[in-house]
Amino acid sequence: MLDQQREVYKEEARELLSELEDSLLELEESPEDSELVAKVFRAMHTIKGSGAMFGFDDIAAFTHEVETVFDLVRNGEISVTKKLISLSLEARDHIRSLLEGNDIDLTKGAALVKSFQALVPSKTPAVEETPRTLPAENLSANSEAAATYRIRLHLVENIIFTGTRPDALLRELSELGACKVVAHTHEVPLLADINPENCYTHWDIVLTSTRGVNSIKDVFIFVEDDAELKIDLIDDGLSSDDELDYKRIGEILLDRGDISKEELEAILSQNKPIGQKLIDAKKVPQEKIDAALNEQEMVRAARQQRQAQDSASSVRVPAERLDLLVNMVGELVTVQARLSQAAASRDDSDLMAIAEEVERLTGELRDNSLNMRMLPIGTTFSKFKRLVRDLSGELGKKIELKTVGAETEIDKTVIEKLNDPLVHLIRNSLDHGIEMPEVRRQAGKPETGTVLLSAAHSGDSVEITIEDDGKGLDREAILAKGIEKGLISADAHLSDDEVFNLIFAAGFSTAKVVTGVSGRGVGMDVVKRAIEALRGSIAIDSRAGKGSVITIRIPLTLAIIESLLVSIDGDAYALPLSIIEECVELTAMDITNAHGRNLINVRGQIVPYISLREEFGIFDAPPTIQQVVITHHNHIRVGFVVDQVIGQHQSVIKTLGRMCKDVQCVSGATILGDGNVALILDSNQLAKKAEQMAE
Amino acid sequence: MLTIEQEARAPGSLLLKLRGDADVTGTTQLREALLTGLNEQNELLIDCSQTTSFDFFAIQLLCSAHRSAVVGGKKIRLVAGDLPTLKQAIRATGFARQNGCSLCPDDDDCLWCIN
Repeated sequence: MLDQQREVYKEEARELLSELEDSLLELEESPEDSELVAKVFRAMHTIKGSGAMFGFDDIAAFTHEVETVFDLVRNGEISVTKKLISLSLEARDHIRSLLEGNDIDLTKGAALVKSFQALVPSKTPAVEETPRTLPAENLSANSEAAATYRIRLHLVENIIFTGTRPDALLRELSELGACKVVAHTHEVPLLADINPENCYTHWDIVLTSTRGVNSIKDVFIFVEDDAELKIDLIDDGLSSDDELDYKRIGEILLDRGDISKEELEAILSQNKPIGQKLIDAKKVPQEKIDAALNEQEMVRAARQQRQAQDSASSVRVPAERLDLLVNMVGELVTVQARLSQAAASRDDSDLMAIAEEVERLTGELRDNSLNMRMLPIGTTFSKFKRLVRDLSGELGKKIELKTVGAETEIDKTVIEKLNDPLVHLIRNSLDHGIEMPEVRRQAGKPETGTVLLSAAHSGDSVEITIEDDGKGLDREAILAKGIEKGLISADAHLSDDEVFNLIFAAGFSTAKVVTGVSGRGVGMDVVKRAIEALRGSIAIDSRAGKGSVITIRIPLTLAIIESLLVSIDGDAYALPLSIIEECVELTAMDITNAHGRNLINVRGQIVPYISLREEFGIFDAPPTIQQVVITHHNHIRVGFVVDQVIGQHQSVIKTLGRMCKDVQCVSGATILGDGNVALILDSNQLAKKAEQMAE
Repeated sequence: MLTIEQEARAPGSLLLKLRGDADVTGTTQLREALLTGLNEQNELLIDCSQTTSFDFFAIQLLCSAHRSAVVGGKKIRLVAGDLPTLKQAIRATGFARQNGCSLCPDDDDCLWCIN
């Protein structure tokens, strides 16, 4: 059981560490943001507390040092500096290695502990710190329901003689939770009459806290006899009703005794906001309206948060189980296709109705199970912030990473496989794209370069772009290198796109110096292959002096695709529907008119096509009228000639297995309703062939 | 400890520079300065840029001074009133407000209308 709990802790700690990294990087940008400081503190606190609870004493002891420093930051005793962020990020990495049990560097850990201790005023680093086992902290306080209280406080005028400072009481109260305070000042005398050491103010406070009413009473324990204190529970934090709304202002004031029922009814008959009416009628002063508004706002906020927490409740499921579920749904989709086909052939209306119902349910089940594997791509994006921060320091450049569309969801497997190519592309942008600060200044650009990483849904694909405002690709250097490497002939006339695409060739690199970051020339071809393995495509655009844009398009999921079934010589093939624009007929006359070139005129536009019969070595006579499936591929239109278009199909993708891994132009297979196998055509490879043919 | 420096400005206007901690120990002295200033001038400017802290009694006294100014048809304004220490203190003690009080309904004139 403990092993299971430890595994759960590890899972949670990984998530917290990932959030912690994000928060630290954000904090570096906005060091004054107290909410971020609190977030960092809470993450450290939870990692430490739960770590001690589940026997990760080394993590608990180490994290304690970091937490101590952030406690001081939280209290305004230490300010957030770049050094603190760098140390904290290193500490985060160290906690991660302690958690995973990999690459643990104890010397580094000890050095970090000393560095954190040195940040604590009046605490000099201990020569040798024996690891302490910390008591498992009471984490349940956080999980307790946060109740909201209305507190009305009148202190005696000469409260100062009891040694009590009103601000100290209010501060202590605010430490119990979110707190809004309104001071009522209408009894404060004018200067001529005031005794400045007396307290003439009284307060309305609304407090949301998990600590219970006794903690509130404890704050006032020493002024019990010198204060009028009224504490009302106005939201217990437990009610599970969906009612988000709280009382109206009039009701709150009535509840507080600030107005009588009769007065309220009389005022309500006028057509103005209640608060304004009451102030106009001099029934209630502005402060009391403010206090009531605070109460309304705090209770609504507490209820909203509770509802958000309720709806965010989740069950942790191992990824393998989800994969298994998706595989089974895939099988079900195949069986359902068979059922639909069998029902259609039997001409049995009852069976048809059942088949249609099963089809509808299977569709919903498929969508839902695929959705379960969808994760926001932001989880990957946030890792890059750290990468950019560290690398820009290493390269001596000033670079900011901006991200857009982090909430875009994509299949978990795709995200995992996308990580390495994206790391490589971002590294390239940092190393080759963005110039050194002085070069940028001379070019009239801001010293800080920007890399924009964005993601957006586009049909059943996701488009990811990496855009930098650096120097752009050097056309001439690429061309020269291409000639040197024998990739193109010296007299070739290439368009910009064609030149830029040379960088995807194996072993291509124009970097004059091989750096640890990039420039070994073993990257872009690998990136392209990785993207294509995900059935995606990659395109590059660049303008000298302005920067480059790399666009990656990848399917949302690798499990099931919508495809168009076509037949060639009696066999079925599937083409991804997302790339298909239209289907047009190809007659013998069209072929004759093209004078032996594989080109077709589609409403005045010439589109190159590739005959799949020829491609697959089928030399029987084709039907008199063939079909051209027109697809788009990186803004280029390419047609594929097939015998017949069968129709739309949901293809559960099956890999071809190791034996067929070198087969080109086919990316997988799918099982049809009649049990036959259809090959899924690799549109990228086919399009590449068509491009070469067009040349 | 609080020290108060006076600096004549335009005719009828006086600047009071508060240095150090504005707390209960300095409120008698502050009250005198405020009272004299308001009696003798039409406008009182309070410079808090050198004030290191404010406690409840200091803030309550400034509130009283402001109320007195409004009643007497005079002006009182905080100079460098957007200091974080002051903002933090008026929020913590509950003086921060969205709208002016019954004596001073004009939000722009209120000392405590902060964002």
